[in-house]
Amino acid sequence: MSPATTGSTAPEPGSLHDPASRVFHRGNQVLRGLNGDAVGDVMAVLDASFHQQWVADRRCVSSQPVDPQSVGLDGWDAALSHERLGLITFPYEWTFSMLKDAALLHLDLELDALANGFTTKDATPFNVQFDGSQPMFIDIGSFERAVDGQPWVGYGQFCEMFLNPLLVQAYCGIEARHILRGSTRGLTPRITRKALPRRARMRPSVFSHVVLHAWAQRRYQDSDADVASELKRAGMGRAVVVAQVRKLRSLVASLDWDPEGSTWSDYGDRAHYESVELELKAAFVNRVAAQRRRSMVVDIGANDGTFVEPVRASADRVVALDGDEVVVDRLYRRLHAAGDRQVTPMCVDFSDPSGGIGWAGAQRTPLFDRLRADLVLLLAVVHHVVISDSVPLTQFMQAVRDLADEAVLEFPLPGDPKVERLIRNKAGRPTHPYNEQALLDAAAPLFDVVEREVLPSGTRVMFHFVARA
Amino acid sequence: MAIMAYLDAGSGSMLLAAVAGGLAGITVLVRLYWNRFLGLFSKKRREAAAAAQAELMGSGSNPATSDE
Repeated sequence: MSPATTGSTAPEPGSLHDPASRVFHRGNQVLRGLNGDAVGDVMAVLDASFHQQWVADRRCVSSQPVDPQSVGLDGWDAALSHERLGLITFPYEWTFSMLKDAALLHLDLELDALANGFTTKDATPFNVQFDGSQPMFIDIGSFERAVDGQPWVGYGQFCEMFLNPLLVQAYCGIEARHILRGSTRGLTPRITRKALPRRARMRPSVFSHVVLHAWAQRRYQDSDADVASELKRAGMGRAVVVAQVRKLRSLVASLDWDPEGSTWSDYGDRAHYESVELELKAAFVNRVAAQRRRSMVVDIGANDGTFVEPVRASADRVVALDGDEVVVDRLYRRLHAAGDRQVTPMCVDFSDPSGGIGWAGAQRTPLFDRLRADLVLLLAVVHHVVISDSVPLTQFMQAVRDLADEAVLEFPLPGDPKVERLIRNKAGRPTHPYNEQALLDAAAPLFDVVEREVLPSGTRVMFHFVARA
Repeated sequence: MAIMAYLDAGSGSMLLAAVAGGLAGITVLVRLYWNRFLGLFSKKRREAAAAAQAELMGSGSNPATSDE
């Protein structure tokens, strides 16, 4: 069956693998077409009390059945309309703790599903999104009825997409997000086994999920053995799968990432700022934030989230974006523990944001295709991008304009100690022009300067830019 | 296996369900290998014996090896 789409119903590029369940967009609606066995399975899950509890607890997005033809999903046997989340992030934009929480959420859901006669047919972090700082399961199409004697089909994918990247970060300090950005398939047990130190490999749970797993994959790589049928004949039951998922959960829960001090991890004390300077800077941000309520504010170079606080009162959603995983992870843990559903931390280098990956290079869309802001904060960011990363000011301002209609920008002038340090690292001369006039020239075609204030140090200037009509 | 399964669960990964499934899983694994062991006598050995016999008798066709 090849489901036809009509009108403005467009398929979600990230949802192409499962022929029984596919996500579509229609205006602001998030829809799902269902076919064949998936219809009965997913509708049964919708009615299951465990799923309704997950929705009530805001751990799973809500879904309503709709008439397929009424939403342009002709040719599909059934359709759902899903709750729409305000922001889509991908696992390579998350920190260690975010990936770990998403993994635990997926395993908890699998355990609840198994206890109620269901299972998930895949186990990828792309099934999880963050509502503020709380993970939520979004892929109800993943559910199917559990079949006695059948192992958990998603186990291998869980290891490659969740467990192995987490293990490599916990034991080797290699950030999982780099691995997940490099491949939508994650990390194989074979490579994980090679990367992990002996003390990790000797842990019984790691030995089983990684070392034996790598051996078994190699052993059965070209085998014609029908392992699924053999397991069933040998008495494979639901209890074995539950035990496997429970053990997996306790392994994931035990993992911690303990990085050494990072470049920015002590930036939160802002010792280089005079307190009056910091107060005036915060007052400038407050003033702009309080002008009107905004739907989305993005703080680029958010560090410890100091400036998230002033803007959150007048914003529906805030994204705190920073390239330093240590500070972003710390911010996430604080927000997550407080039950936050407004601020989403993301670990992204503004000079190197995630592009499109997966099938046709478009299955997972680039960050700046997903992220639009009413207001963007760029506090002491521009000198790093222009001087250290050698990006011309014109291109920097164009990127800001592509992202948002308004910007609050702190511009450290040449002569500022931080700027001088960066210039020294560039053999005493920035690659591209870096001064206030160059900034204003770059901004002029795109933005009007609504407010300008020189901070007491005399080496930093605050700007409020508003897009030209 | 569900008819419309899109994810390749992988034989090796499936076997790990038993390995990582505690005592109950190990029991399943032992039974799986025991069944295979018995299979040596009940199927392959019989086929091998039939093939040997056919060769000895000079028969040209042997259903046991027809797919090779």
